[in-house]
Amino acid sequence: MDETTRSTASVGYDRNSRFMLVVESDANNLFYTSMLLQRFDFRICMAATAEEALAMVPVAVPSLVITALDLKGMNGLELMQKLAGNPATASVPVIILIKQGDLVGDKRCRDAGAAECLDKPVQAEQIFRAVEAAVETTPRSSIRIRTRLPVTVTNMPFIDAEGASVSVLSEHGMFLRTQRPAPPDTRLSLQIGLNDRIISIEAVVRSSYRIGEGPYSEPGMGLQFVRTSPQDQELIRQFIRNEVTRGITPM
Amino acid sequence: MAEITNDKKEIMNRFIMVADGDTNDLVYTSILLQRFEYHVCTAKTAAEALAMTAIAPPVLVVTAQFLPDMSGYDLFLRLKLDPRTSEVPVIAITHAGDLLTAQRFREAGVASCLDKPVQVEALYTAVQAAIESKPRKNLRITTVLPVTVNGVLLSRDAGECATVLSEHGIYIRTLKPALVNTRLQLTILVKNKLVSVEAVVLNTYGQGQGLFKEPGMGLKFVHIDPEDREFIRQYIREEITRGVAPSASDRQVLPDSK
Repeated sequence: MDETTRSTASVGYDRNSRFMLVVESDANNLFYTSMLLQRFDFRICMAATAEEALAMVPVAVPSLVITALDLKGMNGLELMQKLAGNPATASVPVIILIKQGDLVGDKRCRDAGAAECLDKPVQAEQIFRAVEAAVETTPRSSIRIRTRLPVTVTNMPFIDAEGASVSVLSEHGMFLRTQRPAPPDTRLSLQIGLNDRIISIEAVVRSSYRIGEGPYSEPGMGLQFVRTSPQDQELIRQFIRNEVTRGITPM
Repeated sequence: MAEITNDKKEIMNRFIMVADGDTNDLVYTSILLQRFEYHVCTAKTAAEALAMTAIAPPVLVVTAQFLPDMSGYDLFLRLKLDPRTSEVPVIAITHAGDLLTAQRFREAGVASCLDKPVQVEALYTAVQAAIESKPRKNLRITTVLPVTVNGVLLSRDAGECATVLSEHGIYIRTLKPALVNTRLQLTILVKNKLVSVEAVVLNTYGQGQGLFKEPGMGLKFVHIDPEDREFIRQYIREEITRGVAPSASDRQVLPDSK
């Protein structure tokens, strides 16, 4: 199954029984990272110190730990080593967030076995990719958002006759909700209303669903973008970033 | 092309602040709230909670009475005094038997006061009542359960099944919903048990009607064996609490009540 159309139903169920532990002593960054992960549909627990994090582990083992390197008290590297030394958590991947320019810290964390090291302030796209790579068997490379955007299929006007819309959007594709999906491999010319702009995209149908068949319990088609102008591509990226970071900012 | 508003946006941008000095209960309560489909922010101390609420106001604060640096009651007063959070409803969680603290919370105007260990249903009802314009009374889970309608098994190949379940009703995804007010005989397969109920159709949705609404019908149970209702209630509770449990000990009750 391609990236745009992986089943949300099964993912939702799986995600419900897992959670990620976020460790950060800076309240603003803790808030930012935790809200982002929840908007990516992950479940989380938060800890302000490594000591708090270690107290949480016996309660329920997380599927991933995301920690800042600099913490009040024990630092993120020591936290990772403690987790590695405990059989219950030895296999839990750890992503470490490091102050930009701290190359020594970055190298030490990588050498010690961190799944990934990211510079602070961490960008939404980067953390999404790192988390997916660490915990998913088929990791996605780009953020997808549930949305509702108006769309026109200019070369097949009948498709939007009954209220078609974009219901899932990523930088590289989308799910177009329609009762009259075109068959796979059809090439479509689309116009999407994004805020007050209209962007034009060439896309190809990857999967086509009648009612009840699809991953989003709605009929429609998964599309992969095959041609967009660099400006429109940037508008989409910016739109997605704004949606997932609305009201939250890193320090 | 008309802009279509998105009702999920608002849900995504709001969150509940959870404060509890007991790590186990902090994890338990915050995981439950996430399984109720709320976003959360958690704090083990009042200082962390206040630092976090200063960044962005939550829609609700759920605090335990026991916090290491000040009492939940004092945290509540601090929130009420701050103009940024004075309007935010607060649910207090106190140790069962600590009637004095519960009374103080109630008199000071908390949205509700719950006993520890928190019961799933009580938490759900309290949260719904505190922040939803149309609060639900009964916990519901999204699920995929096979169901027969008047003896006919719905086609799972066509995606027809029960997708939402509570102890009082069900949502059935189908392209052929029955008319509103129709009485139907349902058999639902819940965890290897066939549960038979009589239900009445409350609402129906066709394709493309309602944002994010899948076609189908919402039904209310009008006749169900009390044992079956209890079985469904248990099933929902198990699903929601999978892998997490509240603190077994009530060790904070002594220092707290001094």
